[in-house]
Amino acid sequence: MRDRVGVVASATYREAVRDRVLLIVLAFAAAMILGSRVLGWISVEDELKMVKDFSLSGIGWLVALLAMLIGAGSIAREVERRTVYTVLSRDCGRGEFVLGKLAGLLCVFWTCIAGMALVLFAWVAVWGGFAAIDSRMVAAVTGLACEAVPLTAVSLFLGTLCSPALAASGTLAFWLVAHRTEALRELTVDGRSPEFAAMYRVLYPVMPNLENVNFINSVTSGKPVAWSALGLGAVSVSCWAAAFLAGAIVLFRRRQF
Amino acid sequence: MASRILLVALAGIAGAAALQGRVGAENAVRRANDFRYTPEPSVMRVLCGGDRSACADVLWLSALPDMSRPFEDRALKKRWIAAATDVITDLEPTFGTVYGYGAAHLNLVDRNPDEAIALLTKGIANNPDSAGLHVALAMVYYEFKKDRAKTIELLEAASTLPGIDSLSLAMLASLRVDSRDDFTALAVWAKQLDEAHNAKVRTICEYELWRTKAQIAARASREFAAQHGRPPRDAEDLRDPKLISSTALDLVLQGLSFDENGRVRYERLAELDREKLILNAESYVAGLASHLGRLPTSEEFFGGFGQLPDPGPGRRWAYEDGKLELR
Repeated sequence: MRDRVGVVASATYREAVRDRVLLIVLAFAAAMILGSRVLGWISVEDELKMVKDFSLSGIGWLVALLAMLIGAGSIAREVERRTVYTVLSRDCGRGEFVLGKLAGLLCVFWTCIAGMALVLFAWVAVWGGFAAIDSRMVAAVTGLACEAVPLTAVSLFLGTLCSPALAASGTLAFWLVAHRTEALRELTVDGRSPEFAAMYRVLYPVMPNLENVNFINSVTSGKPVAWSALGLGAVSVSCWAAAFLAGAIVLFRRRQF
Repeated sequence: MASRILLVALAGIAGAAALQGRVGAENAVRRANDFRYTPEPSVMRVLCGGDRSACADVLWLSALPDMSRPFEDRALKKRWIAAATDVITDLEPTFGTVYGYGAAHLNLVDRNPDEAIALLTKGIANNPDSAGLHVALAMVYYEFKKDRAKTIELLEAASTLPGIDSLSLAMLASLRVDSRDDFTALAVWAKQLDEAHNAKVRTICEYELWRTKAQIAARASREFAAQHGRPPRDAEDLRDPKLISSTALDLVLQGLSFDENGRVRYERLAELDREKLILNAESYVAGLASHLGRLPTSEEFFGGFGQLPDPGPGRRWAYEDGKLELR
């Protein structure tokens, strides 16, 4: 089974890296990182803070764009090109196919994140020296890599359910909503909005929460990284990824070609 | 065909360019209005999602130019700057610059010390280890509220934090001297001297310690003159717990003398003053050398560094190889 998943994953990886969309998205993220210095120039001070904030947000958008533009259309492309028939007719289960897709896409996305992180670290080192690169930045990038896992699973889930355009829109909606789950808590804190409080109690634990792995805010806080919190967050988003992956497998098994 | 298309394209660009002057002027009128909208912090938090830091940066970058821009409606400007700094620090509670600059603007330009105090208090609550915010709040209380007790309390808290500057410590010591808390005033610098990690910092701390002694002695001298109708002749004249706290008496009187004009004098303080000047000269030479690309000449150094104090009996100031020395 592992071999079959590996073969699908490596084929997915090769196919994705040949995609021009990937280059465009990478160019966008690189431009965002390098261009962030301009914002530093127009601020009073905090030049490096601006570079770090905008670059990390850029990498976050890179993850979302990759999931939308590459992940969401990944399965549909296989069906459209009819390559899926060849793969599935060769002793490869549908579940293994989806798993392989996830693994392949994640490898691509993580490679892109690592590449962008290297660009960011180099850029920060140019302006602030190596001392400016700290564990908080590593934690933020690791968090973004964790965020890629549920996003890829969601894009695959939606990709098996509907057209690529709808799947991409759905992935974007998931990304936007899952980054705002904390609002449920914040809007009801200290007895505010009691009418929302009941909703918060019910919805908050069962809503996917990508803020669990968002450590961008802590990069310039000067506080030590809560690695255990990042670990717990990673487990939590992985649970969501597993749920969406299972849904994608179920849907793909039922799909009629 | 191609040349016609090119012609149309060029005509389009020329038309747009011709109109731009007028349209641009209209734009300028429209953009000059004072409208600024800052949503509720809770709404902003929802809108920003995972990019709070970047949103805080954008808001800050848009608020910064408005600080120096005149608004037709001054009240609106006050509200906007106060609301913007509030929202930014809600999005990013550790954004130190916003507290510092925001409070300075609210204070000095808007004359709105209450908002400045609210902003800095929020800053301290979110960044309890920031000496700079404690000092900034202390300055607001001192300058605008004339609250010396609160100023001392905040400077006292700041003095225990890393990154406290010598100017703030000197102010704390002076306030302590003014409030006749002589021993604590000396203790501020004695503690710093004890913790000094290099020779340069030690020199500065010791200099400030002796300067604080001089402040206490000068105050006592003034009071003595007011009581007796003459200046004190020697240190023993000031040995009075009503003039100097009894716990600080020996510390202040040790080495104290008066010059011919009745001014307080400590030989050690004069010596430290010269040592401090040499340290300042080092920084001055380094700055000038990086600008000139070589060590400044003697003329360049003495021409720009300013007047040097009395070098002491039998000694003279000398400048050689980028170093100021006493010979």
